[in-house]
Amino acid sequence: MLELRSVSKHFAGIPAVDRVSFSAPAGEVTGYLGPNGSGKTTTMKMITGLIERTSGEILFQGKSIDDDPMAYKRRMGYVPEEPYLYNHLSGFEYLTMVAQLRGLPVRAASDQIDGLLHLLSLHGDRHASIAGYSKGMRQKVLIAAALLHNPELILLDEPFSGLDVASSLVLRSLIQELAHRGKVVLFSSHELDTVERVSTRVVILHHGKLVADDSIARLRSLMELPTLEAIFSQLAVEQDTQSMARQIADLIHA
Amino acid sequence: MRRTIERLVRRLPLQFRVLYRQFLLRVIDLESLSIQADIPGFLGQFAGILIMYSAIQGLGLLMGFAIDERLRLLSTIWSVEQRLISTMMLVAGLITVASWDNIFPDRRDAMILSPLPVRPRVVLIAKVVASAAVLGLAVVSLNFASGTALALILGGIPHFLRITAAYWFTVIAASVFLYGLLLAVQGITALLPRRLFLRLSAILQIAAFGVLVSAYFLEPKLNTPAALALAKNHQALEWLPDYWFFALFNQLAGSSPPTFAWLATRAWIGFGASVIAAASSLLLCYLHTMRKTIEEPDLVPATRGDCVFWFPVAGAQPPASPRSRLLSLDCLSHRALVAAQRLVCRIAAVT
Repeated sequence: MLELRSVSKHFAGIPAVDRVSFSAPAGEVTGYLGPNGSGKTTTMKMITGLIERTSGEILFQGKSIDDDPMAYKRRMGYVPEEPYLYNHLSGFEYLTMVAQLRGLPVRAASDQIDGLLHLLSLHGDRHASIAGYSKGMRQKVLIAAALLHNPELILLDEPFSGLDVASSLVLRSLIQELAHRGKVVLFSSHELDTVERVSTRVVILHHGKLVADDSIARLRSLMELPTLEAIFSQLAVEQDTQSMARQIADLIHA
Repeated sequence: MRRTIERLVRRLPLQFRVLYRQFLLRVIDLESLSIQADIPGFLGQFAGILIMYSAIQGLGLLMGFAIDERLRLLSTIWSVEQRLISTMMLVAGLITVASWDNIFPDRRDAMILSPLPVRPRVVLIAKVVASAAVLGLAVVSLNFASGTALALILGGIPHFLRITAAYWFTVIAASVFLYGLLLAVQGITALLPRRLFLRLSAILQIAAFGVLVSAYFLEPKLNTPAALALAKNHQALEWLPDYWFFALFNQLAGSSPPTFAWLATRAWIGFGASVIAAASSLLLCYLHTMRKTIEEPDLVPATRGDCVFWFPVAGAQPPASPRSRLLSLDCLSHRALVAAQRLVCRIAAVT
């Protein structure tokens, strides 16, 4: 289980994430939602150890992630929101490098990379430079790199970004399958429909603060709202979206 | 020999080897690389050009001194020594400037490598060792023949070993001095807010390039015994590091007049200070800058009056954004360096 206890992050004194506490159990997909700038990616980066938290504690399987960061990172797979890759390498070379840095056995890793590239429809382009890859192809490389070592904790920050419909459907099923196999999956996305289908529970963040942390079914019944979209709108959307849309249309029409 | 090297290399941690290989050729040119690139071949070509230059220089020295006894005058010998050291320092400086952006881990490295079980110090060491390896290769290649020829001319067979050792120590110390100095400049600049650092870094890179090239071609020729002894030249000599290391070489070779001692002392101090500054710079990067590269954004939207505008604004066009200014400076410095690199290759090919 992944557990965050009163985690905060301040940038130049301004809180980006403010005393957030929640837990993501194994065997379930936890959706992590919030409007732009609500602190989702900052939380993800703190969980991965990319950035230091200002206060609070993050535990994985009951142990603080600071106790042995290297052991923790060996058990974690992360798909970042920003597709940072070494563009001069090919997809195969990049994954080989990641496998080597993770200390995976060369031959087994090579077969695994080949298999993953095949399943992700990247096999034909495996020796092409990443610089020439489309956004979706890059995203697939990131997904493959995050899953290569069979991690126990999977952190997905906007994993559907740039993926085509078929790949999105595969990824959606894959996320559920991984959770069924006992992994801890924390999954951040703006696609509420997908989150609703994939996740068993959701954590909603607004202005860096936690505004909901429960199962989707329970939230629906508590708030007496039919969909996750309606719940999200009530908790985290401040503007009147329809009036805003009308104003934009009026503005461009004038 | 090759097997021994391979065995030794295999003893290094796998992560270090992978990252070192990854970073090695990025020192030269990111676009020409792949993890399966022919690294030995590429570096071999690079070394080949320098070895050829060194061989021509060494052969010229040996033949010149064998044919014409008058060349054995102290002033000629000193002139040759100073020129060799000065050229070495120019090459070392240019390589360091060319690898300016690749010495410290950047945002991409941090974002890719931080979630992996790789210790930050391994990343940092691999980066620095990769850039230092290219510099080391250049030092060895450029002095391989010329250093041997100089040792033969100066000491003959009896003093060959001592002069060779003195020469190699001097060129390595001179290269480390420049490398450490530029590393320290970058390390100190990196303490600034990241956006300011990125802007300043490109300007400093091109300034360092200009200083190195202009110092090489425009510095006063003070390599005769008379010029070196003149008190009025001492002020200039205080600011010319190639003369410090020229004096250091003579001190180590045992051919230094006592009047040289203060110059050699400057070389020792410069070398020591540079090593300390570089080590502090690396430590700062490890403790402070590497994390900052992830937390602080590289670029922000343009605002008027936030800094000097580097490009003229024509008509009603908006001013260049910080991003475009940054990229323009990067492109400019990169083009200048690539042009210099090509020029050196062409000169070597012609000679």
